[in-house]
Order: sequence, then C-alpha cells, then structure tokens
Amino acid sequence: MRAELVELFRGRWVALDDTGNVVADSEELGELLERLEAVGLRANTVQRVPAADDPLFVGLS
Amino acid sequence: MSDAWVYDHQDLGEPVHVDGSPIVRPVVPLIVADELPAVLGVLDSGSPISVASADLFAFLGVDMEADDPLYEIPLSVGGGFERTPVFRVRLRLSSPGDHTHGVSWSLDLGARSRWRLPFAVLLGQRGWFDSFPTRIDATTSTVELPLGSASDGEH
Repeated sequence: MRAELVELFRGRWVALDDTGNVVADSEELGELLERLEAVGLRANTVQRVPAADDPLFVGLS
Repeated sequence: MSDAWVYDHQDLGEPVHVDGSPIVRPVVPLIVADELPAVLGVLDSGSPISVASADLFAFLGVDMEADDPLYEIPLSVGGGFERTPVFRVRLRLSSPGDHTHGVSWSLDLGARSRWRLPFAVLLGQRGWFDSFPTRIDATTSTVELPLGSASDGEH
C-alpha cells in the first residue's frame, strides 16, 4: 500500500481498486463490506491500515 | 512453464522494522462472496488453527447469533481470554492477479471479535496447510502453490 495512503487512512479499513487507490473506507470491516455490497462499488482488495501504535503481530496468543 | 501460483509478499502499511526494512507478510487473496473484493489471508505455519474477523462470517453464510459452532477454542483478546467459536465455511483462493479465477475449499474457521489486524484472515495448520502444499520463500518474498491446473476447481 502506498505510503501517502497509509498516513491518510491509519486505523481504517479500506477498499483498494486495481491501481491501489482507496475507493471506500470505514471504521469496521463489516460496515465497509456492507457498503460495497449495497452500492455495487467495485474494488480489488480490502485491508485494514494499521494504526501508528498498533502492536506488531507475531502470532496468535 | 511453472504450474505454480506465485504470490508476492505484501507490505500492509505496518511500521517499518527497527532496522528500517519494511515488514512484508505472506498474503493470499480470498473471496468470501462473488460481489465483494478480496480480503487478505496471511499464512502462519506456526498457528495450529485458522481464524478471521467475526465481521466476515455473515458474508460466509453464518449467523453468529443463531448458528451453533462446531466447537469453541479459548484465545486471548485484549489481555483476557475469550471463547472463540469455530464454524465450517467455504472460501475461494483467488488466482494471482485475477479474482475471477480461483479454487474453493472448506475449512474450520474461528470467528474472533475486536479484530484489529491489517488482514482479515489468519490461515494456519488446520484450514490451510492441511489443504495446500505451500512454499514460503523469504529470500524472494514469495508464496508458491502447485495449483496451476486447479484453476476454477474445488480443493
């Protein structure tokens, strides 16, 4: 994900199009998927942009 | 010509490592419903199970309130333990670069609430590695699966 978008969307779930641009974002994954489904908005992938203070994930505990 | 599907590791926007190098994850694109974009699954051979954000399960046909899980497993959440329900679901692994082709398979997937990871699914020994022979190469930052002939199939 491009660095400038990371800074803009930290802590948010985002939908990215084929060119890597954010086409929708939301606080929660479920809300984002519902919105994409409702409006028929096409996107390539969905991910959460880590917040700046998120701990590094190294496995389930 | 290689018959493998190869996925590049991805930088998901996590802060760089202390040595300044980016953190990249072994990621595969997963389709939960035809009309939705792919969600990201991170491969973790050290995890005995597979788990995902609880937000995904409605789109996988699971009613978290009404459907009985196969079983529950205790996982730590926010400093305490929470029993995580596990459901049998179907996912589709998208072929590299083309979400219109893929391989579907069934797996037992834990539904974890308060999910704050940059990917939506963690694929572990049960649910991924017991279904797909997988080569994770950190020297080239790639995931390789011998699945080329299985496009649009079942697994």
